[in-house]
Amino acid sequence: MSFRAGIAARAAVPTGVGLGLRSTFLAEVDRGAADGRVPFWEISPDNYVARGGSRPVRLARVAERFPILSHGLSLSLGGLDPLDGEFLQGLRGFLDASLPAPWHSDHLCFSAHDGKMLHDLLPLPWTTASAKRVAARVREVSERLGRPMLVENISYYLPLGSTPLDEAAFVVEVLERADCGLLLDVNNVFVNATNHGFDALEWLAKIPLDRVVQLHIAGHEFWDDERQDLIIDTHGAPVRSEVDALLAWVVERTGALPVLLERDENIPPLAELLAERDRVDSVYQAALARHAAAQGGAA
Amino acid sequence: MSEEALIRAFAASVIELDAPAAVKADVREFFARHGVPPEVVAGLPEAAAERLAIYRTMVHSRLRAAVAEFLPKTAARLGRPRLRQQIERFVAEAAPKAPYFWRLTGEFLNWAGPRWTEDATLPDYLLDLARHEWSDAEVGNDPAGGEAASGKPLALDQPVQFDGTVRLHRYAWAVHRATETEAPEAEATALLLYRDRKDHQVKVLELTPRAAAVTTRLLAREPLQAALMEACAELGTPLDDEFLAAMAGYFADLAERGALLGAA
Repeated sequence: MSFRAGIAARAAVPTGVGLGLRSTFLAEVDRGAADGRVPFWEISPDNYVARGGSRPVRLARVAERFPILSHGLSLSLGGLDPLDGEFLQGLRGFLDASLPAPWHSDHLCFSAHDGKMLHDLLPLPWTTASAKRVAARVREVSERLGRPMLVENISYYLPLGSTPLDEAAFVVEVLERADCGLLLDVNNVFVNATNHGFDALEWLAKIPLDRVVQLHIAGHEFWDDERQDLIIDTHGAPVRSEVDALLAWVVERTGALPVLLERDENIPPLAELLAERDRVDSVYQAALARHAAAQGGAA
Repeated sequence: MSEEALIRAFAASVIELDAPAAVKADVREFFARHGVPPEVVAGLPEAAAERLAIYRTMVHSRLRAAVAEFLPKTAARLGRPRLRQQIERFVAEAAPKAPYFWRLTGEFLNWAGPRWTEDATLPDYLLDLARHEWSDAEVGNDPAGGEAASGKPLALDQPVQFDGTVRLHRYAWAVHRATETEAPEAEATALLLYRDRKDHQVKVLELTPRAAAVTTRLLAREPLQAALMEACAELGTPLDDEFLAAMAGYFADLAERGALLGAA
C-alpha cells in the first residue's frame, strides 16, 4: 500500500491552520477556550506516553472535540543506535488507544547516540548511503507503528562536509526510498536558505509536492542579536512575512493541507496565539483561493 | 563509513567534556580524530568550529532549562555556572537515556545523588531539596493512580490498598518548608505524597513519626495489625487507645482524600 493509500485508509485528514497543543494552555483548551477557532491540534506523543495525571485526561477530552495530529521528537530516525523497541511499543499503544491520527511524523535527524538521548535535532550527512539507512528505518518505524510515516526537514547550522547530495536531494531520496510523506517545514527552509545562502524557492522546486502531506510554519530568532548573522529555529517568535510567502507558494500548488503553526518558546497567552493563527490562516486561505482559481482556469 | 564517522564526531562534540577546547583548537583535527576521512574533513565550512559549538550550546541549554524548571530552588542554590558544569558532566558521564524529555530531571538526579552527597562544597540539604522538588513531577506524572477501590473495609489481618501514586519520602531536612532563599532546618522529615484523584494536583502531608512508621510498613504491604505493632515496637510506643485513635483519624483523613482505598 502506498503512503497515500495508507493515509486515506485511516482517519479523515484535517486541513487549515492548527496549533501545537502545549501544556501551558492545555487546561484552557480543555475548558473550551479554542472551540471553533482551530481546525486541529498537533501533539507530541512523546510527552504523553507512559505518563499519568492531568495531561492524558485533558487530552482525551480535547480529542473528543478536535482532530489530533501526531508529531514526535525522539525516534532518532537518522541515528546509528538501533530503534528503541520499547519506546515504539509504548508509542504504538498510545496512538492505538488514544488517537485516530492519520499518520505519525518525526524529523530527518539524529537525536540519540550510543544510548545517550540528546533531546535535540542533529543533522545528518547528505549521502545516498545515509538516505538508504534512514529510509529503511522510516519503513521499519511505519510497520512497527502500524501507520504511515511523515518525515520533517530540519533546520541545520553546519552542513556536514562536501556531500554528493544537497539537502533537497537527500530529502527526496529518503522520501522515495521509504515511500513516506513529507512534513514540510517552510520556516526551516527559510532558516537554512538564509543561513547558508541559497534560494528557498529553488529548494522547494526540487521537492515533489505530491509527497507533501502537512506543513509546519514558525518564527525564529537571531543567535546573536548584535551580529545577526545566524538565525535559529526556536519557534519562539511570530512568523515572518518571508515565511508566510513560502507557505503561500506551497499551498497555491498543493491545495488544502493541514498547516501547523508552531510555538514552543516565549509562548504567548492563548488568545494572542489564536490571533496569530488567524493571521496565518488568512495567508493560507488566500493561497487556497489562488489554487482553486488556477484549478478552475485549468479546467 | 564516513557518514557514520561524521555522526559519531558530531555527537562527541556535544557529549565529551573536552570537546569545546578540542573543537576550538582545531575542528578538523577533532573530526579526523573521530575517524572522519580527510576528504570529508576538507569539505567542512570555514565556520565549522563556531557552528558545531552552537549545537553543544543548544543541547546543554535545553537540558539545563528543563532541570531548572523542575528544580527551581535547587538550581538557584547551585547558581547558573555550577548548574552548567553539572549538566556538562552529566551529559559526558551518563546523559539522559529515556526518550521522554520530562524524565531527564529524574535521570539527572540519579546521576547527581552520589556525587552531591560527597561534595563538601554543596549545602548538605541540597540533594534532599532537589529530590523533594522533583517528587512533584514524579508523582504528578506517575502512570499509576486512580485505581478502583477494592470495596473492602480495613481489616487487621489484611494489607491496605493505597492509590497507586502514594509514596513516602524521608529527608534529613525540612525541605518542604524551604523558601527560595532560606535553607531548610535540619529535622528528620517524613512526607506522604499522592496525586489528588479529582484535580490531579500533588498533595503533600507531613507525617508524625508514628504515622510514618506505620505507613512505611503498609506501603511494604504488611497486614494492618502487624504494621501497627511493629511501628510501635520501633518507636518504643505502647499500642494503646491513644495510638489507635490517632491512627484511626489518620486513616480516615487519607480515605477522605482518596489516598487510602480500603483493604487490599
